[in-house]
Amino acid sequence: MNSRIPLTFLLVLFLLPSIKLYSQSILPQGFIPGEVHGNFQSDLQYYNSDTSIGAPEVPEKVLMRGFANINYTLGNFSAGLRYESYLATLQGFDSRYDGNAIPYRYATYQNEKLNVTVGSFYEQFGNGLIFRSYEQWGLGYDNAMDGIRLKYEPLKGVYLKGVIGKLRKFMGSGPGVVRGLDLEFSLADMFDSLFNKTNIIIGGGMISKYQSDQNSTYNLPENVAAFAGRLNIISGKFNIGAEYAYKINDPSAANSYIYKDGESFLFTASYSTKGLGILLTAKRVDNMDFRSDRAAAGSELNINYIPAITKVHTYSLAAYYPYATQPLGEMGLQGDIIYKIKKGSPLGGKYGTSILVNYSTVFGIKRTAVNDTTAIGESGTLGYKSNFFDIGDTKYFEDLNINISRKFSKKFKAAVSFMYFEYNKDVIQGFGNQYGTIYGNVAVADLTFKLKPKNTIRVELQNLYTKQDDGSWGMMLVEYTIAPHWFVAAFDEYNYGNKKSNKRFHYFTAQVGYKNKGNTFTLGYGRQRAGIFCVGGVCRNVPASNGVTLAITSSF
Amino acid sequence: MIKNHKSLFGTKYFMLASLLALIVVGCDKVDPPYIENNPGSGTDTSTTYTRKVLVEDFTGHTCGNCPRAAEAAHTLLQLYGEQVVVVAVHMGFFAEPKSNPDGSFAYDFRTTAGSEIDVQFGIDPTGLPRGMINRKDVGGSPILAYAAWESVVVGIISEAPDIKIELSNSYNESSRLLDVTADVTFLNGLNGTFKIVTLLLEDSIVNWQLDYLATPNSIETYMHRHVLRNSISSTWGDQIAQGSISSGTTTSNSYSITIDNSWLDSKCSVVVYVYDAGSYEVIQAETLKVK
Repeated sequence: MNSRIPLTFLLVLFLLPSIKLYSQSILPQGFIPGEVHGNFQSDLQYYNSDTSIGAPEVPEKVLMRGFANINYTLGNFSAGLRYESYLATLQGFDSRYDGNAIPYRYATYQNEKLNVTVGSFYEQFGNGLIFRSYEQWGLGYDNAMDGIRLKYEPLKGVYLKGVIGKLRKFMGSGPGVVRGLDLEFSLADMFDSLFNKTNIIIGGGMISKYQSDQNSTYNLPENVAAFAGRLNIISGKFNIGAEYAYKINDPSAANSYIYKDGESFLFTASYSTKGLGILLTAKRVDNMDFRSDRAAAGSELNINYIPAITKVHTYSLAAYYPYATQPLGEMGLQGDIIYKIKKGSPLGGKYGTSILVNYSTVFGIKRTAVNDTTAIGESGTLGYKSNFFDIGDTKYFEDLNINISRKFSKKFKAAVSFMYFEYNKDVIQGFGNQYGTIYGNVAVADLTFKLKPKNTIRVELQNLYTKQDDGSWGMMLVEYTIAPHWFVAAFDEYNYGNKKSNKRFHYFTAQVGYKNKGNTFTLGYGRQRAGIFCVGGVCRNVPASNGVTLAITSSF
Repeated sequence: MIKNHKSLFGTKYFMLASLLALIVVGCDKVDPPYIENNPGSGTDTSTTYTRKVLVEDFTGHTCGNCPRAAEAAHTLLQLYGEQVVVVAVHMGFFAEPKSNPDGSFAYDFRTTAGSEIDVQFGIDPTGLPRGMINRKDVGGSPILAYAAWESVVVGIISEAPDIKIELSNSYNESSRLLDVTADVTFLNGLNGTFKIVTLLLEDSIVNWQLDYLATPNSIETYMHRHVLRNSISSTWGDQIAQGSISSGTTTSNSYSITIDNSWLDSKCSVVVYVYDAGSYEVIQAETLKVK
């Protein structure tokens, strides 16, 4: 097995010059009119089997997924494509991507007021409550629209968007047709004289999807529409926004074929001044899973996007139990305060100190039966009744975290974080009543030492303490950076608190990276832990892995 | 310049109005009753020979959402009767036997054929439950969520059959030796390479199953329906015809298998299907009880 590892290094040698050729040959300056830009990424992994952590033998040994975006612009015209290659896709991603294709291609014409795109596009109305098509390479998610988009600015400050198309599903597209229109007025742009330091933005949109009814059990609506209205007031240090969305009867596999209308509401208010920022967010979601195929499962073919109002943590153990929005129903609140203690004050120290406090909590919504003879959520009925302000009894998630960072000297800075969380694994991942709620604490110390002007060493120490699930974890990372080109990192995650003593594994990873002019190469070796991930009624097992990884990103 | 601008705005205003009209139209409010009183559109198979569709339900005993897919398959059988042939294929991570102290989930439902189908189509990485309807490609992949099965079934069973499969068997209860003969008649002229596969199923096996909607989640006495036990032919079967095949062509293939002593022969049945080796799409399926 080890004799095969040099294959990966051969591949590196093979790929290095080809990348160079790539960026040069495409840009023969002055040869063709217009400009070509793009980017390239490739993630390759060589897999070893590792029976101790359960990493299976991968028949292909080497798996790779990669893409290149190539965009051409000439005056008002632009066109582009994305070539994607999954040979075969990495473990943990959906195998329905396997193969080579050009799933994304477009042409756009734009003048002062009008922008027309034919082909693939990403678009969003407001916060996305009724419509958002986007991609996240890291998660293997892409619901790009394929069709026509029109953007028009008939008057200054008036923005109109019209879209029609089908959503991408892996290398094909879903059956439903999605049509929509959005209108936005930015009053400060429309009436310059009336608004000085204030702007009011009013917007509204509609989305309708069509999918024929071939189901003999239910009488299904073939056209399902959703509407949303939004208001944003920006005045000096304040920014207040609200959006409300409503969806008519949309029985689907995701909501177990109930005919109740859906709604969601999102409110944000922020205040920011020098040294202080406050953000408040509130959300209610009720039956808002909206897809272009009513039979879709997993994370396929979502038309809309319900923004998360919980903090996205970056430290690995703080991010171990991330909340996932529950489009079928949730109510939540989030508060965020950032405070910077002045430089030179007794508390702030010579270089200043910043404190960040974040709190979020999410509950279910209260559901009551529509009548005495219908069970809550029963298929082929209105499902349930839910009062807009009634909070459900089940807590889905809670997170209180504080982060204090301070620069002590030119050579040393430190950040410490503490987090308390409650994570209802059964609800968030759809496990019935298997695991219950996980209660835990996370502590992180992040220390950065500047050894020389260009040499930095960073150390992370993390601990996740919990009695539930896999128990406690410890983590240590050491990263050495030689600016601007090189970095070396090594980290170990250790499941020391696992109740099963034979499962107290170390997951060690070492990486070396090189950056130069928009090209980054990262070569790593390590172990990744296994996990079962459930989304939308489908559970996937991502097997543990042990192997060599190579990531290349390049932009030109 | 201003004039030009106005007329442009006028055009767009007209377009806006038409788009608005389109969207408002695109909104169907359904009134009760929501459930259709439909006896199923399956054709009466007693008089005419019809297209029969293979429904492969990929499942595992530790897949907590898989009982929903089994229910969907059962609904298809209720609605379309003999035009639907269901095979429950236990495969992948969620079918692995466990060594739990209470003995739960210790049974190994997996089969060589099931594992080979999993690898060929890449089903396990897509997560469970999943299914394939005649292995027909739908929007770029044959792997479907269970809620999508019915519309594909409906689209297929209304088509006239391309081939006819007639099954006969002889079963020796003492030796438990089963002989199966499949006689295939091409009803239409077809082009391609066609293969025949013969499977053995056992119905109504009572054993553990995880169900996220049940309390507790682990059910000891779950009834596993239409379980694939073994492939009597090889997983990818035997070639019966190739090239330009004229209408009226007939073939006959015989298989035999000794039914395992631990399997209940009164619950066993044979499933035979013929598929296009180029596309893997199944063109006809048939089933027959062992006794």
